Amino acid sequence: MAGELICRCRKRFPPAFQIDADLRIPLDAAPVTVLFGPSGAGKTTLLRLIAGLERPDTGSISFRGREWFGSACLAPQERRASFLFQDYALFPHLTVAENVAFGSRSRQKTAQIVEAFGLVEFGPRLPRAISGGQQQRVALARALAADPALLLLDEPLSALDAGSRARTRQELRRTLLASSIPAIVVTHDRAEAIALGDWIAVVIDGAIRQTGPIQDVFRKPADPQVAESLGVENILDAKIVGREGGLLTLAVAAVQLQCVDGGESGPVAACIRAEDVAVTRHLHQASSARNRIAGTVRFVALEGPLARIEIDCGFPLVAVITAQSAAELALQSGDAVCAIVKATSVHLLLQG
Amino acid sequence: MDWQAIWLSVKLASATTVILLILGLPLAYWLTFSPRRWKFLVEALVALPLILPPTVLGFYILLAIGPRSPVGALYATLTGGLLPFSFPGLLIASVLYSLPFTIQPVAAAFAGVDRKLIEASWCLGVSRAATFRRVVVPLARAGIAAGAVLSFAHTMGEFGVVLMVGGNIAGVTRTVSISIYDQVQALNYAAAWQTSLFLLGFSFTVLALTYALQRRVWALWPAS
Repeated sequence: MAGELICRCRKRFPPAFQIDADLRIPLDAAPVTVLFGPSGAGKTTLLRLIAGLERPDTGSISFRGREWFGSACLAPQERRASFLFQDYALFPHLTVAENVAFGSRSRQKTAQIVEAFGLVEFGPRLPRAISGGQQQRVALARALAADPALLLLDEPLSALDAGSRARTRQELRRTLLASSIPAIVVTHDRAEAIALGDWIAVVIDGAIRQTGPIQDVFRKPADPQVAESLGVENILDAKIVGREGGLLTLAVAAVQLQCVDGGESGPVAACIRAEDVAVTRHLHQASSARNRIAGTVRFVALEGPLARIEIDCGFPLVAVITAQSAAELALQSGDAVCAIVKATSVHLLLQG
Repeated sequence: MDWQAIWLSVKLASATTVILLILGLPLAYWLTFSPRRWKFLVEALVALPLILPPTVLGFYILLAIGPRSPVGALYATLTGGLLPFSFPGLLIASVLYSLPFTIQPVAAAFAGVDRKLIEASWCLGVSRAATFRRVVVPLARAGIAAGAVLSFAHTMGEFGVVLMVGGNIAGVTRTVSISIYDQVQALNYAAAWQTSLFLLGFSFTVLALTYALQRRVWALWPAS
Protein backbone atom coordinates (compact mmCIF):
# COMPACT_ATOMS: atom_id res chain seq x y z
CA MET A 1 0.00 0.00 0.00
CA ALA A 2 1.15 3.47 -0.74
CA GLY A 3 1.95 5.74 2.15
CA GLU A 4 3.01 2.92 4.42
CA LEU A 5 6.18 1.44 5.78
CA ILE A 6 5.71 -2.29 6.06
CA CYS A 7 8.41 -4.30 7.78
CA ARG A 8 7.80 -8.01 8.20
CA CYS A 9 11.06 -9.66 8.85
CA ARG A 10 13.01 -12.02 10.99
CA LYS A 11 16.66 -12.09 11.92
CA ARG A 12 18.42 -14.41 14.31
CA PHE A 13 21.29 -13.33 16.51
CA PRO A 14 22.80 -16.51 17.88
CA PRO A 15 22.66 -17.83 20.47
CA ALA A 16 19.41 -16.59 21.94
CA PHE A 17 18.07 -13.37 20.48
CA GLN A 18 15.87 -12.90 17.49
CA ILE A 19 13.98 -10.09 15.85
CA ASP A 20 10.59 -11.14 14.61
CA ALA A 21 8.93 -7.94 13.55
CA ASP A 22 5.58 -7.26 11.99
CA LEU A 23 5.36 -3.52 11.72
CA ARG A 24 3.12 -1.35 9.61
CA ILE A 25 3.33 2.42 9.90
CA PRO A 26 0.87 4.75 8.15
CA LEU A 27 3.42 7.39 7.19
CA ASP A 28 0.99 10.12 6.26
CA ALA A 29 -1.22 9.77 9.35
CA ALA A 30 1.76 9.51 11.68
CA PRO A 31 4.55 12.03 11.03
CA VAL A 32 6.52 10.74 14.00
CA THR A 33 6.46 7.10 15.06
CA VAL A 34 8.07 6.01 18.29
CA LEU A 35 9.65 2.59 18.66
CA PHE A 36 9.25 2.09 22.36
CA GLY A 37 10.49 -0.67 24.60
CA PRO A 38 12.92 -1.64 27.32
CA SER A 39 16.68 -1.72 26.70
CA GLY A 40 17.76 -4.77 24.76
CA ALA A 41 14.34 -5.26 23.17
CA GLY A 42 15.78 -4.89 19.68
CA LYS A 43 14.64 -1.36 18.84
CA THR A 44 17.96 -0.24 17.42
CA THR A 45 18.36 -3.45 15.44
CA LEU A 46 14.92 -2.92 13.94
CA LEU A 47 15.95 0.58 12.93
CA ARG A 48 19.13 -0.80 11.33
CA LEU A 49 17.10 -3.38 9.42
CA ILE A 50 14.90 -0.60 8.04
CA ALA A 51 17.94 1.52 7.13
CA GLY A 52 19.56 -1.39 5.29
CA LEU A 53 22.51 -1.58 7.69
CA GLU A 54 21.46 -5.09 8.71
CA ARG A 55 20.03 -7.73 6.42
CA PRO A 56 17.04 -9.78 7.58
CA ASP A 57 17.23 -13.58 7.31
CA THR A 58 13.76 -13.68 5.80
CA GLY A 59 10.86 -11.35 5.24
CA SER A 60 10.18 -8.16 3.36
CA ILE A 61 10.42 -4.43 3.87
CA SER A 62 8.62 -1.95 1.68
CA PHE A 63 8.32 1.81 1.81
CA ARG A 64 5.50 3.66 0.04
CA GLY A 65 4.93 0.64 -2.19
CA ARG A 66 8.59 0.30 -3.15
CA GLU A 67 10.33 -2.89 -2.13
CA TRP A 68 13.40 -2.25 0.05
CA PHE A 69 14.01 -5.83 0.94
CA GLY A 70 12.45 -8.96 -0.46
CA SER A 71 13.46 -10.47 -3.76
CA ALA A 72 16.40 -8.05 -3.73
CA CYS A 73 18.07 -5.98 -1.03
CA LEU A 74 18.43 -2.25 -1.63
CA ALA A 75 21.62 -0.68 -0.31
CA PRO A 76 21.28 2.06 2.35
CA GLN A 77 22.21 4.60 -0.34
CA GLU A 78 19.18 3.63 -2.43
CA ARG A 79 16.74 3.68 0.48
CA ARG A 80 17.68 7.19 1.52
CA ALA A 81 16.71 6.59 5.11
CA SER A 82 18.92 8.99 7.05
CA PHE A 83 20.10 7.43 10.28
CA LEU A 84 20.73 9.60 13.30
CA PHE A 85 23.03 7.67 15.61
CA GLN A 86 22.78 7.81 19.37
CA ASP A 87 26.14 9.59 19.62
CA TYR A 88 25.42 11.49 16.36
CA ALA A 89 28.44 10.05 14.46
CA LEU A 90 29.52 13.45 13.17
CA PHE A 91 32.59 13.28 10.95
CA PRO A 92 35.37 14.44 13.29
CA HIS A 93 37.68 15.57 10.49
CA LEU A 94 35.10 17.87 8.89
CA THR A 95 33.78 21.21 10.11
CA VAL A 96 30.16 21.73 11.09
CA ALA A 97 29.42 23.24 7.67
CA GLU A 98 31.12 20.37 5.85
CA ASN A 99 29.22 17.86 7.97
CA VAL A 100 25.86 19.39 7.06
CA ALA A 101 26.81 19.56 3.37
CA PHE A 102 28.13 15.98 3.33
CA GLY A 103 25.19 14.21 1.68
CA SER A 104 23.52 17.27 0.21
CA ARG A 105 23.14 17.78 -3.52
CA SER A 106 22.11 21.42 -3.35
CA ARG A 107 24.28 24.13 -1.94
CA GLN A 108 21.31 26.41 -1.61
CA LYS A 109 19.37 23.89 0.44
CA THR A 110 22.39 23.27 2.69
CA ALA A 111 22.74 27.00 3.31
CA GLN A 112 19.03 27.25 4.15
CA ILE A 113 19.27 24.39 6.63
CA VAL A 114 22.44 25.75 8.27
CA GLU A 115 20.60 29.05 8.67
CA ALA A 116 17.36 27.48 9.94
CA PHE A 117 19.21 25.38 12.51
CA GLY A 118 21.10 28.41 13.80
CA LEU A 119 24.43 26.87 12.89
CA VAL A 120 25.91 29.74 10.85
CA GLU A 121 28.28 30.88 13.59
CA PHE A 122 29.46 27.30 14.24
CA GLY A 123 30.11 26.58 10.54
CA PRO A 124 33.92 26.65 10.64
CA ARG A 125 34.24 24.73 13.93
CA LEU A 126 35.00 21.05 14.34
CA PRO A 127 32.25 18.92 15.92
CA ARG A 128 34.23 18.30 19.11
CA ALA A 129 34.42 22.05 19.72
CA ILE A 130 30.64 22.45 20.12
CA SER A 131 28.24 21.32 22.84
CA GLY A 132 26.18 18.12 22.85
CA GLY A 133 22.97 19.97 22.04
CA GLN A 134 24.64 21.71 19.12
CA GLN A 135 26.05 18.39 17.91
CA GLN A 136 22.55 16.98 17.95
CA ARG A 137 21.35 19.88 15.79
CA VAL A 138 24.24 19.38 13.37
CA ALA A 139 23.41 15.67 13.06
CA LEU A 140 19.76 16.44 12.37
CA ALA A 141 20.68 19.19 9.90
CA ARG A 142 23.06 16.82 8.14
CA ALA A 143 20.35 14.16 7.91
CA LEU A 144 17.78 16.59 6.51
CA ALA A 145 20.18 18.21 4.05
CA ALA A 146 20.64 14.82 2.35
CA ASP A 147 16.98 15.02 1.29
CA PRO A 148 15.94 11.72 2.88
CA ALA A 149 12.73 9.78 2.30
CA LEU A 150 12.65 8.71 5.93
CA LEU A 151 14.41 9.78 9.11
CA LEU A 152 15.55 7.17 11.61
CA LEU A 153 16.54 8.50 15.03
CA ASP A 154 18.18 6.22 17.58
CA GLU A 155 17.68 7.62 21.09
CA PRO A 156 18.28 11.14 19.77
CA LEU A 157 18.22 12.80 23.20
CA SER A 158 20.02 10.26 25.34
CA ALA A 159 23.44 11.89 24.92
CA LEU A 160 22.15 15.18 26.36
CA ASP A 161 22.02 16.15 30.01
CA ALA A 162 18.64 16.10 31.72
CA GLY A 163 18.18 19.87 31.60
CA SER A 164 18.59 20.37 27.89
CA ARG A 165 16.77 17.13 27.12
CA ALA A 166 13.32 18.49 28.00
CA ARG A 167 13.94 21.67 26.01
CA THR A 168 15.37 19.84 23.02
CA ARG A 169 12.41 17.45 23.00
CA GLN A 170 9.98 20.19 21.99
CA GLU A 171 12.44 21.62 19.51
CA LEU A 172 12.98 18.19 17.95
CA ARG A 173 9.24 17.59 17.60
CA ARG A 174 8.79 20.95 15.90
CA THR A 175 11.70 20.32 13.55
CA LEU A 176 10.46 16.85 12.62
CA LEU A 177 6.96 18.17 11.87
CA ALA A 178 8.31 21.12 9.89
CA SER A 179 10.51 18.88 7.75
CA SER A 180 7.44 16.93 6.51
CA ILE A 181 9.66 13.84 6.31
CA PRO A 182 8.28 10.88 8.26
CA ALA A 183 10.43 9.92 11.22
CA ILE A 184 10.88 6.83 13.36
CA VAL A 185 12.32 7.54 16.79
CA VAL A 186 13.70 4.90 19.12
CA THR A 187 13.32 5.62 22.81
CA HIS A 188 12.88 3.85 26.12
CA ASP A 189 11.77 7.02 27.88
CA ARG A 190 8.03 7.35 28.38
CA ALA A 191 7.98 11.15 28.60
CA GLU A 192 10.06 11.34 25.45
CA ALA A 193 7.74 8.97 23.62
CA ILE A 194 4.67 10.99 24.55
CA ALA A 195 6.32 14.31 23.74
CA LEU A 196 7.68 13.24 20.36
CA GLY A 197 5.35 10.68 18.87
CA ASP A 198 2.03 10.50 17.07
CA TRP A 199 2.14 6.76 16.63
CA ILE A 200 3.82 4.16 18.77
CA ALA A 201 5.07 0.62 18.27
CA VAL A 202 5.89 -1.26 21.46
CA VAL A 203 8.87 -3.59 21.06
CA ILE A 204 9.45 -6.36 23.59
CA ASP A 205 11.91 -9.25 23.13
CA GLY A 206 12.40 -8.53 19.45
CA ALA A 207 8.69 -8.52 18.59
CA ILE A 208 6.20 -5.74 17.92
CA ARG A 209 3.60 -6.20 20.61
CA GLN A 210 1.25 -3.30 19.94
CA THR A 211 0.99 -0.40 17.52
CA GLY A 212 -1.38 2.51 17.31
CA PRO A 213 -1.91 6.19 18.02
CA ILE A 214 0.15 7.00 21.07
CA GLN A 215 -2.70 8.08 23.37
CA ASP A 216 -4.70 4.94 22.56
CA VAL A 217 -1.82 2.63 23.31
CA PHE A 218 -1.02 4.35 26.60
CA ARG A 219 -4.67 4.31 27.57
CA LYS A 220 -5.30 0.75 26.50
CA PRO A 221 -2.22 -1.44 26.56
CA ALA A 222 -2.91 -4.78 24.91
CA ASP A 223 -1.52 -6.97 27.66
CA PRO A 224 0.12 -6.73 31.10
CA GLN A 225 3.65 -6.92 29.68
CA VAL A 226 3.00 -4.00 27.32
CA ALA A 227 1.37 -2.10 30.18
CA GLU A 228 4.39 -2.69 32.36
CA SER A 229 6.82 -1.57 29.67
CA LEU A 230 4.73 1.56 29.10
CA GLY A 231 5.12 2.35 32.77
CA VAL A 232 1.49 1.84 33.81
CA GLU A 233 2.17 1.73 37.55
CA ASN A 234 -0.77 -0.26 38.78
CA ILE A 235 -1.35 -3.64 37.19
CA LEU A 236 -3.51 -5.62 39.60
CA ASP A 237 -4.61 -9.22 39.42
CA ALA A 238 -8.40 -9.17 39.50
CA LYS A 239 -11.39 -11.47 39.36
CA ILE A 240 -14.74 -10.52 37.84
CA VAL A 241 -17.32 -11.06 40.55
CA GLY A 242 -20.31 -9.11 39.27
CA ARG A 243 -21.82 -7.62 36.15
CA GLU A 244 -24.66 -5.11 36.29
CA GLY A 245 -25.88 -2.04 34.41
CA GLY A 246 -22.87 -1.82 32.15
CA LEU A 247 -20.48 -2.00 35.06
CA LEU A 248 -18.28 -4.84 36.17
CA THR A 249 -17.40 -5.49 39.78
CA LEU A 250 -13.89 -6.76 40.33
CA ALA A 251 -12.27 -8.29 43.34
CA VAL A 252 -8.71 -7.15 43.88
CA ALA A 253 -7.38 -8.74 47.05
CA ALA A 254 -10.13 -7.92 49.57
CA VAL A 255 -11.27 -4.76 47.78
CA GLN A 256 -14.03 -4.43 45.23
CA LEU A 257 -13.55 -2.13 42.24
CA GLN A 258 -15.99 -1.12 39.58
CA CYS A 259 -15.17 -0.57 35.95
CA VAL A 260 -16.89 -0.26 32.60
CA ASP A 261 -18.11 -3.57 31.18
CA GLY A 262 -16.33 -4.27 27.92
CA GLY A 263 -17.58 -7.84 27.70
CA GLU A 264 -14.48 -9.30 29.34
CA SER A 265 -14.53 -12.61 31.14
CA GLY A 266 -12.05 -14.97 32.75
CA PRO A 267 -8.92 -13.93 34.60
CA VAL A 268 -8.09 -10.26 34.09
CA ALA A 269 -5.63 -7.61 35.20
CA ALA A 270 -6.88 -4.18 36.20
CA CYS A 271 -4.63 -1.37 34.95
CA ILE A 272 -4.79 2.01 36.60
CA ARG A 273 -2.40 4.78 35.65
CA ALA A 274 -0.95 6.48 38.70
CA GLU A 275 -2.07 9.85 37.33
CA ASP A 276 -5.67 8.62 37.45
CA VAL A 277 -5.61 7.96 41.18
CA ALA A 278 -6.75 10.87 43.38
CA VAL A 279 -6.03 10.98 47.10
CA THR A 280 -8.13 12.44 49.92
CA ARG A 281 -8.15 12.20 53.68
CA HIS A 282 -11.93 11.89 54.01
CA LEU A 283 -13.38 8.50 53.26
CA HIS A 284 -16.96 9.73 52.98
CA GLN A 285 -16.54 12.87 50.89
CA ALA A 286 -19.14 12.98 48.12
CA SER A 287 -17.75 12.39 44.62
CA SER A 288 -18.89 11.01 41.27
CA ALA A 289 -16.07 8.49 41.27
CA ARG A 290 -17.24 4.91 41.75
CA ASN A 291 -14.19 3.57 43.53
CA ARG A 292 -13.16 4.77 46.96
CA ILE A 293 -10.51 2.65 48.56
CA ALA A 294 -9.30 3.04 52.12
CA GLY A 295 -5.59 2.55 52.72
CA THR A 296 -2.47 3.62 54.52
CA VAL A 297 0.30 5.75 53.03
CA ARG A 298 3.48 3.66 52.69
CA PHE A 299 5.72 6.44 51.45
CA VAL A 300 5.72 9.77 49.64
CA ALA A 301 8.45 10.52 47.11
CA LEU A 302 8.83 13.92 45.51
CA GLU A 303 9.73 13.85 41.82
CA GLY A 304 10.10 17.46 40.77
CA PRO A 305 6.63 19.04 40.49
CA LEU A 306 4.97 15.68 41.18
CA ALA A 307 4.63 13.48 44.23
CA ARG A 308 4.48 9.74 43.99
CA ILE A 309 2.51 8.10 46.76
CA GLU A 310 2.35 4.43 47.47
CA ILE A 311 -0.77 3.41 49.34
CA ASP A 312 -1.35 0.05 50.98
CA CYS A 313 -4.94 -0.91 50.23
CA GLY A 314 -4.43 -4.62 50.83
CA PHE A 315 -2.52 -4.37 47.58
CA PRO A 316 -0.02 -1.65 46.68
CA LEU A 317 -1.56 1.23 44.75
CA VAL A 318 0.58 4.03 43.32
CA ALA A 319 -0.82 7.53 42.91
CA VAL A 320 0.88 10.48 41.29
CA ILE A 321 -0.43 13.89 42.35
CA THR A 322 1.10 17.34 42.28
CA ALA A 323 3.64 18.13 44.96
CA GLN A 324 1.40 21.05 45.96
CA SER A 325 -1.58 18.77 46.66
CA ALA A 326 0.66 16.43 48.61
CA ALA A 327 1.84 19.37 50.72
CA GLU A 328 -1.73 20.62 51.30
CA LEU A 329 -2.80 17.17 52.44
CA ALA A 330 0.36 16.99 54.59
CA LEU A 331 0.72 13.35 53.69
CA GLN A 332 3.14 11.25 55.68
CA SER A 333 3.73 7.56 55.78
CA GLY A 334 1.34 5.81 58.12
CA ASP A 335 -1.53 8.24 57.44
CA ALA A 336 -4.95 6.80 56.70
CA VAL A 337 -6.20 8.04 53.34
CA CYS A 338 -8.74 7.28 50.67
CA ALA A 339 -7.76 6.59 47.07
CA ILE A 340 -10.32 7.62 44.47
CA VAL A 341 -10.45 6.03 41.03
CA LYS A 342 -13.12 6.60 38.41
CA ALA A 343 -14.61 3.46 36.92
CA THR A 344 -13.57 4.71 33.47
CA SER A 345 -9.93 4.84 34.57
CA VAL A 346 -9.81 1.13 35.35
CA HIS A 347 -8.74 -0.63 32.19
CA LEU A 348 -9.04 -4.37 31.95
CA LEU A 349 -6.49 -6.63 30.31
CA LEU A 350 -7.19 -10.27 29.67
CA GLN A 351 -4.61 -12.47 31.35
CA GLY A 352 -3.12 -14.95 28.90
CA MET B 1 79.89 7.79 -2.33
CA ASP B 2 77.91 5.92 -4.97
CA TRP B 3 75.39 8.60 -5.90
CA GLN B 4 74.14 6.56 -8.81
CA ALA B 5 73.13 3.72 -6.47
CA ILE B 6 71.54 6.15 -4.01
CA TRP B 7 69.51 7.76 -6.76
CA LEU B 8 68.41 4.35 -8.05
CA SER B 9 67.30 3.33 -4.57
CA VAL B 10 65.32 6.53 -4.10
CA LYS B 11 63.67 6.02 -7.49
CA LEU B 12 62.84 2.39 -6.69
CA ALA B 13 61.53 3.22 -3.21
CA SER B 14 59.36 6.09 -4.50
CA ALA B 15 57.85 4.03 -7.30
CA THR B 16 57.26 1.10 -4.95
CA THR B 17 55.53 3.34 -2.41
CA VAL B 18 53.22 4.89 -5.00
CA ILE B 19 52.24 1.51 -6.42
CA LEU B 20 51.75 0.09 -2.91
CA LEU B 21 49.42 2.94 -1.95
CA ILE B 22 47.34 2.41 -5.08
CA LEU B 23 47.11 -1.36 -4.56
CA GLY B 24 47.37 -1.46 -0.80
CA LEU B 25 44.53 0.89 0.19
CA PRO B 26 41.74 -1.11 -1.49
CA LEU B 27 43.31 -4.40 -0.37
CA ALA B 28 43.60 -3.19 3.24
CA TYR B 29 39.98 -1.98 3.06
CA TRP B 30 38.86 -5.37 1.84
CA LEU B 31 40.88 -7.15 4.54
CA THR B 32 39.42 -4.91 7.24
CA PHE B 33 35.76 -4.88 6.27
CA SER B 34 35.08 -8.01 4.24
CA PRO B 35 32.84 -10.52 5.98
CA ARG B 36 34.43 -13.41 4.02
CA ARG B 37 35.53 -16.26 6.25
CA TRP B 38 38.51 -17.22 4.13
CA LYS B 39 40.13 -13.80 4.23
CA PHE B 40 42.62 -15.07 6.83
CA LEU B 41 44.27 -16.92 3.95
CA VAL B 42 44.83 -13.63 2.13
CA GLU B 43 46.08 -12.07 5.35
CA ALA B 44 48.63 -14.87 5.76
CA LEU B 45 49.70 -14.51 2.12
CA VAL B 46 50.19 -10.75 2.46
CA ALA B 47 52.24 -11.19 5.65
CA LEU B 48 54.50 -13.90 4.17
CA PRO B 49 57.33 -11.51 3.13
CA LEU B 50 57.76 -10.62 6.82
CA ILE B 51 59.10 -14.07 7.68
CA LEU B 52 60.10 -15.67 4.40
CA PRO B 53 63.88 -15.43 3.70
CA PRO B 54 64.43 -12.82 0.96
CA THR B 55 66.27 -15.45 -1.07
CA VAL B 56 63.21 -17.72 -1.11
CA LEU B 57 60.91 -14.87 -2.09
CA GLY B 58 63.43 -13.66 -4.65
CA PHE B 59 63.76 -17.15 -6.12
CA TYR B 60 60.02 -17.53 -6.65
CA ILE B 61 59.69 -14.03 -8.07
CA LEU B 62 62.55 -14.75 -10.44
CA LEU B 63 60.71 -17.86 -11.68
CA ALA B 64 57.39 -16.02 -11.85
CA ILE B 65 58.67 -13.18 -14.00
CA GLY B 66 61.16 -15.19 -16.07
CA PRO B 67 60.78 -15.31 -19.86
CA ARG B 68 59.12 -18.74 -19.70
CA SER B 69 56.44 -17.59 -17.24
CA PRO B 70 53.15 -16.07 -18.51
CA VAL B 71 54.00 -12.71 -16.92
CA GLY B 72 57.49 -12.64 -18.41
CA ALA B 73 56.23 -13.79 -21.82
CA LEU B 74 53.54 -11.10 -21.89
CA TYR B 75 56.11 -8.47 -20.89
CA ALA B 76 58.45 -9.67 -23.62
CA THR B 77 55.78 -9.42 -26.32
CA LEU B 78 54.69 -5.99 -25.13
CA THR B 79 58.12 -4.39 -24.67
CA GLY B 80 60.59 -6.75 -26.25
CA GLY B 81 62.58 -6.80 -23.00
CA LEU B 82 63.02 -9.17 -20.11
CA LEU B 83 61.89 -8.62 -16.52
CA PRO B 84 64.69 -10.31 -14.53
CA PHE B 85 67.75 -8.13 -13.96
CA SER B 86 65.81 -5.00 -15.07
CA PHE B 87 64.36 -2.06 -13.16
CA PRO B 88 60.69 -3.03 -13.79
CA GLY B 89 61.44 -6.55 -12.55
CA LEU B 90 63.02 -5.08 -9.45
CA LEU B 91 59.94 -2.93 -8.97
CA ILE B 92 57.60 -5.94 -9.03
CA ALA B 93 59.79 -7.70 -6.48
CA SER B 94 59.94 -4.64 -4.22
CA VAL B 95 56.17 -4.20 -4.28
CA LEU B 96 55.59 -7.79 -3.20
CA TYR B 97 58.36 -7.64 -0.62
CA SER B 98 57.09 -4.44 1.03
CA LEU B 99 53.37 -5.26 0.77
CA PRO B 100 52.92 -6.11 4.49
CA PHE B 101 54.64 -2.88 5.49
CA THR B 102 51.86 -0.94 3.76
CA ILE B 103 48.93 -3.25 4.47
CA GLN B 104 49.39 -3.74 8.19
CA PRO B 105 49.47 -0.13 9.43
CA VAL B 106 46.79 0.89 6.92
CA ALA B 107 44.49 -1.99 7.84
CA ALA B 108 44.99 -1.20 11.54
CA ALA B 109 44.08 2.44 10.86
CA PHE B 110 40.99 1.42 8.86
CA ALA B 111 39.89 -0.86 11.66
CA GLY B 112 40.20 2.10 14.01
CA VAL B 113 37.70 4.18 12.03
CA ASP B 114 34.36 4.18 13.84
CA ARG B 115 32.05 1.91 11.86
CA LYS B 116 29.12 4.25 12.58
CA LEU B 117 30.78 7.05 10.62
CA ILE B 118 30.90 4.82 7.54
CA GLU B 119 27.30 3.76 8.03
CA ALA B 120 26.21 7.36 8.57
CA SER B 121 27.78 8.28 5.25
CA TRP B 122 26.03 5.41 3.44
CA CYS B 123 22.69 6.43 4.92
CA LEU B 124 23.26 9.97 3.66
CA GLY B 125 23.25 8.49 0.16
CA VAL B 126 27.03 8.62 -0.35
CA SER B 127 28.39 5.64 -2.30
CA ARG B 128 30.83 3.12 -0.86
CA ALA B 129 33.68 4.41 -3.00
CA ALA B 130 33.02 8.04 -2.08
CA THR B 131 32.66 7.11 1.59
CA PHE B 132 36.05 5.41 1.40
CA ARG B 133 37.59 8.52 -0.13
CA ARG B 134 35.81 11.11 2.03
CA VAL B 135 35.58 9.38 5.41
CA VAL B 136 37.81 6.31 5.73
CA VAL B 137 40.99 7.62 4.09
CA PRO B 138 41.05 11.03 5.83
CA LEU B 139 40.44 9.41 9.22
CA ALA B 140 43.14 6.80 8.60
CA ARG B 141 45.71 9.27 7.27
CA ALA B 142 48.15 8.74 10.14
CA GLY B 143 48.19 5.00 9.45
CA ILE B 144 48.46 5.55 5.70
CA ALA B 145 51.39 7.92 6.21
CA ALA B 146 53.05 5.36 8.48
CA GLY B 147 52.52 2.62 5.88
CA ALA B 148 53.98 4.76 3.11
CA VAL B 149 57.05 5.73 5.11
CA LEU B 150 57.70 2.19 6.28
CA SER B 151 57.38 0.84 2.74
CA PHE B 152 59.71 3.54 1.42
CA ALA B 153 62.32 2.95 4.11
CA HIS B 154 62.04 -0.81 3.81
CA THR B 155 62.60 -0.65 0.03
CA MET B 156 65.56 1.70 0.49
CA GLY B 157 67.27 -0.94 2.61
CA GLU B 158 66.31 -4.16 0.84
CA PHE B 159 69.12 -6.43 -0.19
CA GLY B 160 68.39 -10.13 -0.63
CA VAL B 161 65.42 -9.88 -2.96
CA VAL B 162 67.17 -7.22 -5.05
CA LEU B 163 70.22 -9.39 -5.42
CA MET B 164 68.16 -12.43 -6.45
CA VAL B 165 65.91 -10.63 -8.93
CA GLY B 166 67.99 -7.69 -10.08
CA GLY B 167 71.56 -8.77 -9.71
CA ASN B 168 74.18 -6.06 -9.64
CA ILE B 169 74.10 -3.86 -12.74
CA ALA B 170 75.32 -0.31 -12.18
CA GLY B 171 72.62 2.26 -12.88
CA VAL B 172 69.98 -0.42 -13.53
CA THR B 173 69.70 -2.67 -10.47
CA ARG B 174 72.62 -1.78 -8.21
CA THR B 175 70.80 -0.24 -5.24
CA VAL B 176 72.51 1.41 -2.31
CA SER B 177 72.67 -1.68 -0.09
CA ILE B 178 74.23 -3.71 -2.90
CA SER B 179 76.66 -0.90 -3.50
CA ILE B 180 77.76 -1.09 0.15
CA TYR B 181 78.17 -4.86 -0.15
CA ASP B 182 80.33 -4.31 -3.24
CA GLN B 183 82.45 -1.73 -1.47
CA VAL B 184 83.07 -4.03 1.48
CA GLN B 185 83.91 -6.93 -0.83
CA ALA B 186 86.44 -4.67 -2.56
CA LEU B 187 87.83 -3.71 0.88
CA ASN B 188 86.91 -0.08 0.11
CA TYR B 189 85.95 0.59 3.75
CA ALA B 190 86.04 4.40 3.41
CA ALA B 191 83.34 4.36 0.73
CA ALA B 192 81.29 1.76 2.67
CA TRP B 193 81.52 4.00 5.73
CA GLN B 194 80.21 7.00 3.84
CA THR B 195 77.33 5.21 2.13
CA SER B 196 76.31 3.39 5.31
CA LEU B 197 76.37 6.57 7.31
CA PHE B 198 74.25 8.26 4.66
CA LEU B 199 71.70 5.44 4.78
CA LEU B 200 71.66 5.49 8.58
CA GLY B 201 71.14 9.26 8.69
CA PHE B 202 68.49 9.12 6.00
CA SER B 203 66.50 6.33 7.68
CA PHE B 204 66.61 8.02 11.07
CA THR B 205 65.52 11.39 9.65
CA VAL B 206 62.60 9.87 7.74
CA LEU B 207 61.35 7.97 10.77
CA ALA B 208 61.79 10.94 13.10
CA LEU B 209 59.84 13.14 10.68
CA THR B 210 57.06 10.58 10.47
CA TYR B 211 56.66 10.35 14.21
CA ALA B 212 56.71 14.14 14.54
CA LEU B 213 54.11 14.46 11.81
CA GLN B 214 51.88 11.84 13.37
CA ARG B 215 51.98 13.58 16.69
CA ARG B 216 50.68 16.74 15.04
CA VAL B 217 48.02 14.82 13.17
CA TRP B 218 46.90 13.22 16.41
CA ALA B 219 46.84 16.51 18.22
CA LEU B 220 44.45 17.89 15.61
CA TRP B 221 42.24 14.80 15.35
CA PRO B 222 42.47 12.67 18.45
CA ALA B 223 41.52 9.05 17.87
CA SER B 224 37.82 8.85 18.62
